Amino acid sequence: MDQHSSNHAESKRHFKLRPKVHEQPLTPETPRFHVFLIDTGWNGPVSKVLHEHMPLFHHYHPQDPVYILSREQSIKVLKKAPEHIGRDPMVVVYDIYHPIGTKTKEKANYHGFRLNLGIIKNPEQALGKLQEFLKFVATHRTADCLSCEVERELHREGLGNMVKLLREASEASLELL
Amino acid sequence: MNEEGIPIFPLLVASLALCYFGLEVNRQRNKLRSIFNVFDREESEIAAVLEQWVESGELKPFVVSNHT
Repeated sequence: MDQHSSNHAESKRHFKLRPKVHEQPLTPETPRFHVFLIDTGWNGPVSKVLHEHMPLFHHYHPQDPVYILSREQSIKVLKKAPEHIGRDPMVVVYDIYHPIGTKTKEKANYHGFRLNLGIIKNPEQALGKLQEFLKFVATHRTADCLSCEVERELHREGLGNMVKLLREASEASLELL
Repeated sequence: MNEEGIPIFPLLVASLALCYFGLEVNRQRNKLRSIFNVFDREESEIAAVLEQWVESGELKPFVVSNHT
């Protein structure tokens, strides 16, 4: 399909994942995200954990629809974006909130974030990341600039890792002494 | 000539430790960013396919069963 016909097909669609301007201020109850679970089944133990706990996402955020793709659908999607093969199971969250006053153009960019749990081999670690992710969505769902919050969170986690690393190094050196 | 002027061995160990620390911090930061990342894209083939599936009803929102 060429660019023109693709754009035409897109303009006819009612369901859109691009952000839309909201006149009302954001509240914790405002629907904001569309969540998709893509899983081709590479990483069995992590898949199991994720599928078991995915209903929690719905319980915490019933206003945000959660879509669980079948294995076949996940394969079709990743064929379109082969750079993500091997990173699944992944949770893709589209943010449909477009704050008033930000740069306006005909079509807003697709905006959101991704949790690539397929990179993690240990199911317990994957569960920990999923919990952090859920907490992040719950605590920042009314933030105007979500990507700023993600950057801040990554920075904080990076600092936390650095401190952990220093502590481990000092413990190891004490053991050597 | 002062043979005891520069303690080479401790300096070497300290610089190796620093290099290791720097590399490890960098490795962990990259890993963190590969697990959790933000996207902001003008066009997305994945999004277009997902929109099409949801629109056609091929992909439906997850519903929690109350009978479990």
